[in-house]
Amino acid sequence: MGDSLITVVAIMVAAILMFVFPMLSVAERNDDISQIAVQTATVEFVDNIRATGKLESKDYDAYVQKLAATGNSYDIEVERKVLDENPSKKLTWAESKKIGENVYYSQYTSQIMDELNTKGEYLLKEGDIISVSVKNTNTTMSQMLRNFFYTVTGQGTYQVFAKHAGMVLLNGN
Amino acid sequence: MKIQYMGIIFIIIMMPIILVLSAYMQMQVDNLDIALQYDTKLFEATLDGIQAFELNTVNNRFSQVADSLKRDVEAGINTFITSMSNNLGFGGVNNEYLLPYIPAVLFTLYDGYYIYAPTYAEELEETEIEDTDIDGKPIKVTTEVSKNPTVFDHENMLKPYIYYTTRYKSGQKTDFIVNYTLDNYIIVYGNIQANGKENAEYVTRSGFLSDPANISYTLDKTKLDTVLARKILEYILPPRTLDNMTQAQILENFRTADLTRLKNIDEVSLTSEMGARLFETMKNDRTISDMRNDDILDALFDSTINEIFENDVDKIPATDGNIIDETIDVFSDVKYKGLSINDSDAKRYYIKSLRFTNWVNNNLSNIEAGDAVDDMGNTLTEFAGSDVKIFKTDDGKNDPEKYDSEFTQHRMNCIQLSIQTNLNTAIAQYNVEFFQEKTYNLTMPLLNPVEWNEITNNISMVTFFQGMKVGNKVYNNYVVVSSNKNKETINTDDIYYINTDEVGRTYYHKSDCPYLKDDTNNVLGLKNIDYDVYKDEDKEKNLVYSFNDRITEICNSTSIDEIYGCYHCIVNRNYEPVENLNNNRLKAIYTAIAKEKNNLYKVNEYYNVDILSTYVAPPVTVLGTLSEIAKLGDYVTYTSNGYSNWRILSKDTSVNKVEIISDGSVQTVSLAGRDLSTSSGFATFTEKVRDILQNVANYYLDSTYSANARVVGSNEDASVGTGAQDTDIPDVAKMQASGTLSTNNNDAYSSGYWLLSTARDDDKYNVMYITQDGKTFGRGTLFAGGTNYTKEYGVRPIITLNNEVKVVGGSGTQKDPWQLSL
Repeated sequence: MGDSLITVVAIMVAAILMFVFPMLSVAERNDDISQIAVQTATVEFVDNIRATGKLESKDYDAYVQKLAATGNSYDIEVERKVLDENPSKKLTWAESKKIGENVYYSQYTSQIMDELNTKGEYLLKEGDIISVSVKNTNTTMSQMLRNFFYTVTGQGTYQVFAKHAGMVLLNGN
Repeated sequence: MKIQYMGIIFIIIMMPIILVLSAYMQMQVDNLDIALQYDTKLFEATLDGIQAFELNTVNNRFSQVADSLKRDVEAGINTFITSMSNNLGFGGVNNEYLLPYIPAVLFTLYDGYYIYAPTYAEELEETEIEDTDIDGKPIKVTTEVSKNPTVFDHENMLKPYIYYTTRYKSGQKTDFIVNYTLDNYIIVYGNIQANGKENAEYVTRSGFLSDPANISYTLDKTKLDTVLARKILEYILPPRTLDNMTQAQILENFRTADLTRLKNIDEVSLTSEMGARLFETMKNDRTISDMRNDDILDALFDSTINEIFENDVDKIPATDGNIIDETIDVFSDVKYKGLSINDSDAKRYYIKSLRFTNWVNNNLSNIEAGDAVDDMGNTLTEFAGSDVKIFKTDDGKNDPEKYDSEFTQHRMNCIQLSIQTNLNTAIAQYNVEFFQEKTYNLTMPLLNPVEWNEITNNISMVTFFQGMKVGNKVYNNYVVVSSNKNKETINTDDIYYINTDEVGRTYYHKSDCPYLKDDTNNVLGLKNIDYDVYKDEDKEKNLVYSFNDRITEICNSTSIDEIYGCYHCIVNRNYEPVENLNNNRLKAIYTAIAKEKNNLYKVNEYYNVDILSTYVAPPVTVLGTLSEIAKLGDYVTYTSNGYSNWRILSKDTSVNKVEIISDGSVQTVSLAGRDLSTSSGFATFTEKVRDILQNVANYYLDSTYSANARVVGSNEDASVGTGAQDTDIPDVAKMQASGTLSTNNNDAYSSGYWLLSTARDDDKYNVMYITQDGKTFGRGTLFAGGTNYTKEYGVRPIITLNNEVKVVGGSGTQKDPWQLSL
């Protein structure tokens, strides 16, 4: 009886050791690769916008496809900080306590996507700041396996995450 | 075996595999991560480089001057290297460590490019040498000298500026080089055999190539003549006499001026040969703008027009005689695509462009893309066999200002080819110098068409970064970044237009912004950098803001002190553009782009200005002696004292003796009996008359071509005595034979001309004359019955030409007289 119990435990331990750990390990490597792929794609995507001053829907589609190729689903957030140069255009300042020379206002994913869907391109100008962040919305295999052992996962926890931002260097035309 | 053992064995086998695999994967991931970081760092550093260049050029008044530009490029590249080494954690001090990883940096500018690459060069060392200053005091000067023994080493440096040039060879004689730029401006130099000409001519020309059908203008010839006449008269008349002259007076003065004085004045941009030919051609009506069929005059015309453009012309008085106090443009009614252009800079652009375009179409229209050759004169394989006529722009299909035109595509290909060749060489050189002992070879990466498009149309910086170890791999990458906010190029999209809205705020917009008011036809457009505000500190360390001169001027003249960017088209940039631009908008665009292009600094523009001094006279071919070739009555080019309308009166082939006679009277001579000692008898009278007339004839002697001069009619036998037959005078027979008896059409001076022959009818002393129709022989009585009379007729000298005179051209007609040479 005692033997049988040990055997069952041994089989379970063996199963974990033989299947789950390798799987976990592979799944984690897989996420690492996804991570690096997502990071690469994001940096390329953002740097392209910075160099050309425009976001074209074909670039955006290619970016989304690259992300999808990792097998996960993602939430993409794009934010453009629009530089308002006009406060600095005054030749004479009425008071010494001014609000600052460069003021930014922001446009977010939904506004940018609207523009992209209607016109096929979204234009930016020199001095604007573009930032893109992506995180996976599904539960990846490694998350699932880990949850199996130790439940640390919760709402908003993600495994694959990438963010890149920078100043736009060219006026989009 | 118990299952537990099997489990343990499995773990013993699997665990290392999993661990090694995991470590390997991790390393790959790390490598990729590092490579990615390098990507970003390279990109950031390149952006820093181009931004440093932009900052330097925009704030540098002299940035467009070649030397200053080179300094800005160097600064941009230094910024790139410093930024890169900081990004990689080397710190600024150690940035030399980075240099071996940078095989090349390409910096493309308006008409050429710089390559920054390791170069095998002599190492110099600084040393102090003794010298003297202006006052002769000894000073020590630091200078660079060769080391002893000479040492050569690799050094990263800017290689000499390379122009975007392509050489074309067509036929036996045409062989020239075209220097392209980032827009439709080209510089052409080399030997060009124009259509229908026998010999090639060396030319240097530059200008904006356009579609001639788009541009039109009216040339006011009288005004142009006034400008030219004024320019020439300045050297003849006393100082400041021209200031108060009307247009008519200037032209009149020019008509009567003694132009021979010009020949000896060095400052006049007429070489002596050119001066001579100019005067020959000018003699008829002295209307310069009509004389467009001569190369030299063409050059003079061009140089004058250039001068008009450069100096804004002096004041030209109005036609009606009232002096008005403003510059009247010689060119009026300038239109582009049917829209009137009013801005003077924009007008200049279009006029110059049309003149240059016409020249290109006349001379280069048969050049094909396939004529492009390399340095050695071998056909470039890239263009081989192509029969596209790139420089032919007058067929309505090839508008160089358009992106998809054949010219533009060819231009981009040429620039790409030039850059590719030189960059390849630079990178190959880099391989030799830095990696000759290494196991791998670096080659120039293939840039994609989008990147080439960027490079061939904008100022851009391309950085290459190769050979850095990343884990077990080597990192290689390049970055292309371009700039559209600089002083060197101009693009339609980079021009913003000023407008004041309903509440009195002034905004600048893009040309197709719906908020740009387009109901007036004087919308002003300026380049994007003009709207930037410059910040500086005053003495109290407060920030001071200022617009540049152009905007400040507008602000002052319109009493506005704030100009804002439109929130739709400038700040946000995502707006609903106006679909069909109306004429006011189009006019604003055409004006602004032309104005900006005209004001671009072009390194090689002097080519056009210097055209006079570079003129090389075509080789002279002697056709034969004048007496053999010419017929009686033919016209010849003989110029003396401003008169140059001469015909052949007689010739003797055996001794090559040719006599020429003026086609009309050269001047009016008034003979008065009281001055001719009539009281001393007929013989003295005759002598006096001859003296006077001979003096006139001598005035038209030219020491080079003529042997002697006399006035028509000098026949001893027939001239004296009573009852001599007028028609017996031998000169008259010669004139009849050569058909030069009448001066009907070209005698501006009087109704007839004096003969040298005198005749006595009893107590009447006469000097004979012939009426200008050549039909009536008259006797002008100057003394009769003790009374003196005065009579006025013209004079026609006869010149005996030097017997060595040869013919080098012409056909003997009035329009194309025989060209003489010795």
